[in-house]
Amino acid sequence: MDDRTRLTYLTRHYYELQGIRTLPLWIYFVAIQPGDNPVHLKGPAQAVFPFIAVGLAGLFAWLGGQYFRRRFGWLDSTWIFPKSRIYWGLYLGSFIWAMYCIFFSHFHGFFPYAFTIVWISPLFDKENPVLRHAYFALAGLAVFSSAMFLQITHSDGRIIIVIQCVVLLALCIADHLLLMSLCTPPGDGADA
Amino acid sequence: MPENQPNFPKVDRVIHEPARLAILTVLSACSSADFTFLQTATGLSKGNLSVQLTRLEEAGLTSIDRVLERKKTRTTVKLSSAGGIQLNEYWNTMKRIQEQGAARLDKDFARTSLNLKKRATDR
Repeated sequence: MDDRTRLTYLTRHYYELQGIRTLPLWIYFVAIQPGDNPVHLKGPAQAVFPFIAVGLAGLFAWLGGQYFRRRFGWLDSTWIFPKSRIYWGLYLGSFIWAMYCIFFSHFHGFFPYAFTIVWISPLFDKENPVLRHAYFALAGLAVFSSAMFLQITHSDGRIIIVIQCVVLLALCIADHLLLMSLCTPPGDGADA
Repeated sequence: MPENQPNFPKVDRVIHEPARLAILTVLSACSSADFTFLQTATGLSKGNLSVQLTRLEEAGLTSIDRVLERKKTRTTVKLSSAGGIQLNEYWNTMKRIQEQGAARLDKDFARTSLNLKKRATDR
């Protein structure tokens, strides 16, 4: 990647690459999947626990934002939405179909596919480097194939949530590493 | 000797400097950026970045806004409309130079290969 492309890409995708801020949320979703009550709470505490956990994850995301602002800086940029018609067609089509199946035939099997299409949007953004395309394609493929495998073998469908969250967790880390590789340490760059 | 000078289009010297070009490239991709982000992206030292920003502001390519936030000054830099136009013009000039260079290289290459062929047939 040449310097002009790197600088433009980093500036335009700075916030998008800060996925590490959502890390506790995915860890929480992975942790609660083996059972509905992983910390063996009883009474009102059991009902309040998810809100506290999600609240804490939100707090972490906010604190992460503050950290990034102080350490790497702040910029005012517009959020980039995928412009590909294929993406929007797939996204809306799969979501409508998944919702239709949930409401009319009480079948939840299409929801993981629809959700996967939501987060593989970087695949349809031409500005992304080949590496980011590759790991998003791999992640999408992993979730799609495991969802299909679970449906064919009639296994417990809840495992797909764990797979999704683990994959999203890995993507957060990969995005963070990409962000770090795009930033130049002060004093090492074009210090003319 | 002016006759021997290559006939390339003139390049804006203020923009052509690598550090300033890097700053302008970042600013052209967003509405505004703060000092820390410019440092992160370009890798320039504080002193150098400060000097380059002043130079760009003097040339009217950027506008600098300083706000006091929690006892600290936050410097935000924006690309001016003139800066945007001049940066575009700069990239167009560079493209023209590249095209001219490529055309000249093609001519030289054709001439050299013709000479080589002639030599080979003479032998």
